[in-house]
Amino acid sequence: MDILQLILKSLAYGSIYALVGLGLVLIFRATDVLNFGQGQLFTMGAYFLVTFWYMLKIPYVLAFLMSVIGTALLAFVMERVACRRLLKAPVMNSIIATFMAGIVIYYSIQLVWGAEVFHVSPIISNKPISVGKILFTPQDVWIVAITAFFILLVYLFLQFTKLGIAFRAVSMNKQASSLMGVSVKKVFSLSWVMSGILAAVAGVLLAPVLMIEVGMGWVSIKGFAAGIVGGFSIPGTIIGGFLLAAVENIFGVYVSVAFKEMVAFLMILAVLLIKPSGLLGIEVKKRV
Amino acid sequence: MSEKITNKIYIIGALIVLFILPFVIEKSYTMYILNLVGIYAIMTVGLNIVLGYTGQISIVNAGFMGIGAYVTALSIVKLGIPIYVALPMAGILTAGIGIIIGFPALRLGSHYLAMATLACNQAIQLIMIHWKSVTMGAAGVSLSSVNIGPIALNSNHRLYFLVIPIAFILIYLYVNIIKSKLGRSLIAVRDSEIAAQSMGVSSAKYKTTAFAISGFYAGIGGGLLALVIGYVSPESFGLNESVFHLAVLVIGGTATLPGPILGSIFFVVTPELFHWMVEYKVLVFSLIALIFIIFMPGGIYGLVKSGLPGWTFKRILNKA
Repeated sequence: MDILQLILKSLAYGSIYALVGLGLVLIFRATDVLNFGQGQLFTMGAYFLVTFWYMLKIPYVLAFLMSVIGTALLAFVMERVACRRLLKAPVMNSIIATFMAGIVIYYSIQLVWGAEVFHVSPIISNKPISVGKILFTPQDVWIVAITAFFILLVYLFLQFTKLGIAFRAVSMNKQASSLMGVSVKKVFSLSWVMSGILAAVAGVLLAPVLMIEVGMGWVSIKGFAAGIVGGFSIPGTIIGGFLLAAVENIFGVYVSVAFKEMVAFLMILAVLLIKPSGLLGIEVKKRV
Repeated sequence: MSEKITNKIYIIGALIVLFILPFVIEKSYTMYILNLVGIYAIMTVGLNIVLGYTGQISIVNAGFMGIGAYVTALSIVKLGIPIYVALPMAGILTAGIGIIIGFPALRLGSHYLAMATLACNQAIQLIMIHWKSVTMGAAGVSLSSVNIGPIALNSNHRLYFLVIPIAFILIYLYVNIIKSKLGRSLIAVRDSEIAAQSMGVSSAKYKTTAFAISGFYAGIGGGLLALVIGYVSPESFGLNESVFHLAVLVIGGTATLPGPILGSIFFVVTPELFHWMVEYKVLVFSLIALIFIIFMPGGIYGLVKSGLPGWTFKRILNKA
């Protein structure tokens, strides 16, 4: 297969990884907590879509919005339960708490929706169109476009609104920003809600591509990989997501399909061992 | 009476009870449950050393356990190695892999380490699934009737006399590790790496040691599990299992000596008492673990030690 074709093919998956990774990074930057339950928020997004659109036959746009709001609410609750109380506790506790919260969501999904695998028909056709030698589907374009739209939204929000500036202040220095009258707790909630929205968007977009099952949340590992490659900076994570998808596809074609699954893990390990600050990350020097 | 002598009396009493149990209990299933308690105690005790006492988060325990199980099962089935060689071999090999996985810990802090170990766990499981020529893939390996010399380990009663003595020895070792110079160094590394380093305690050495010990314990535990269940397949060593181990530790009490043992008893025995729980086992346990980590980080042992749970709640109310 043509290498250009491969890269183009990985754009759709890359955007999903970027969205999931971005959700992780937003929380991490604001609260210094890594949400190990992010993948389950993503799964919830897809399941909400199944319920609202596929089962209840609500129009797509409305179902999309409802899924996003539902997941954002869940993220809000998750922050209150698993994160807020543990701010002063050792980091280990918050890791375990978000992890356990994710597992609780995972099994609650299994309880409510059963172990059944759902298929959602794509909203935009997935028949390939050829331009010259290169093939792509309108659905891929749709995924990339929506992702770009939401990334732009996040960027504009962080850059130009008052809350966005508060978010950036908190991510730099919590104490100083709380002294300047920024409500740090509000920013914490905000970051989780934003991350929930991004996770839901990723879930809804990926729903027609993947089979919808409880285990799909492990895409969060790909999000971690994107975040680590990008050094947990916002632009870095987006690049990391696309890079990961491209490398995965190239490995899948040239090495073996079984090996494709390992790429994310190998990338995590390689980056962590060689340059833990990531490709675009800033070296953090710890004070004694 | 001094504390040492009372402790000895307790230990001897526990030994006598453990020795008499298989003669009193006739039901094979009860023995199976007791064996499982022993195995989980072994595995989470190892996890406690690395996670509780050294402060290095490890979500790879199920992977370690899987390696131990596979090494034991394959060397018995394929190579015909006797079990008293295979089991220690599983432990030592897993300890070696523990050292390799411990390397990231030298450079990485909490979150990154959690991710790295999580990735390792997934990678180990994928290797088990895809390396078909050795591991037989997703189909798994069956172990039927293993012998120690002339004795066939074909009943849960007989396995009990293998599992519980090993568990007892390993737990005894664990208590001594924590109370020795090694244990104090691990705790020093956990509490302040920089302070420990400046006092001449090499954090690199002790972190890898901790991972090696936890690998050894999980490897032996996995090997025993393979014997008790009689079947090894990749799906038993996924992330869920690692979550279990974390939950057991948190529920029992992290960084406390009896915590993992209490947790294992709670973890294995409660679903047997409440049968509706079997289906929702993971959900219930992760929920309980979540509640424990938020409200009572000391776990069951912390509760027992502080007397009334009300005390903990009151403290939290005061804080909030």
